[in-house]
Amino acid sequence: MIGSDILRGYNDLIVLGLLSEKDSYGYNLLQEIAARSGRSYQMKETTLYSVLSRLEKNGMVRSYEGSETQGRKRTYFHITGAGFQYFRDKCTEWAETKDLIDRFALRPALAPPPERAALDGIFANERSPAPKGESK
Amino acid sequence: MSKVTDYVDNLFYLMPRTDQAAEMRQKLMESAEDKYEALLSWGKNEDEALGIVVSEFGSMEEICAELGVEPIGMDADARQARLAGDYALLGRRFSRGLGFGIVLCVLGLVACIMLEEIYYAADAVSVSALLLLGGLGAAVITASALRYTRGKRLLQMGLPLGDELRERQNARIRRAEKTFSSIIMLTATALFFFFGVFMNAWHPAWVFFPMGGVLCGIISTILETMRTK
Repeated sequence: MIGSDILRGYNDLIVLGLLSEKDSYGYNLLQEIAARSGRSYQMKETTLYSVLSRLEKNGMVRSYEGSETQGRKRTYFHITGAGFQYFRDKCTEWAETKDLIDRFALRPALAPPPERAALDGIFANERSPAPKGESK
Repeated sequence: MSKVTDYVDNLFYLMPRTDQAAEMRQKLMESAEDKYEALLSWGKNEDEALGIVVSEFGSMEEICAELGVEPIGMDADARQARLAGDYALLGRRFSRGLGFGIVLCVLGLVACIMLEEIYYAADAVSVSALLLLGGLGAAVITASALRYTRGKRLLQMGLPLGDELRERQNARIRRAEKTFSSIIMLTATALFFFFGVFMNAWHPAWVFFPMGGVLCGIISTILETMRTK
């Protein structure tokens, strides 16, 4: 489970990304997020709706009342032109962030040769289960 | 409505009554209801489903921040102290209400006996005095028990009996005071004329007026003490 603190800055991106595919409503967005993250991220209701409310206030999304199901009304959200622009900016920001962090994170392929051997060892250990008898 | 509606309503109980907050409440409710129904349709029972909805709901602090409202009791220690204080307050209020109700019932009995034995009033007069005071006592006891239950549920959901709630309660008490006095005096007048005209008992029946007056006095004093500072 990934902590919601780390994702805080990217909730906008996640929601806009889904809305850029098609208009959607609250529960469906939450379902979709859980499903695509392989259940590793369950966005809270309050998080989703504070994101949506902020985006709506800033003109990134628009809400409208959709078809009624079982007599209950349902609010759909639609991404606006400004929302698409913001989404693209956020995606660029993420690519840059990812690139930056990757330069520091453990990645065997990027490390200089002497350390690479050591790192390869670490990764190999992580990948293969610990030999029997040595487990702590 | 469903338990989910109750839950969300409780969370929004102390929110300012703005359009923005109402809209937020509505949207959160929609999504939580959707989830709840989906869980039920997957074979969860109501309690399990509510548990999941609540655990995945998130924190109202986020909503407060979004609505630009000061979250109530951010500080955990202060919240704890406040919660303890509120529980004590709730208990005090309940025992006060209970005591007052019992006093009213006893007063009804005393009035009944006094009317019978000292003033030789008609049975109907003394019995109605008993019923009037006894009924009022029972009503006070029931009302305070209901209020106690409601308050306790609120506290169990982690919501303080906030200032707004106190204020509203005080306003309600002021209204109740007016209603009580007018009902009592009207009843006294009605009883006076009833016994006067139909039973020609003008003489003992006048006691309804001083009795009503005393009752109004008692009620307003008690309600005054029930007002929270």
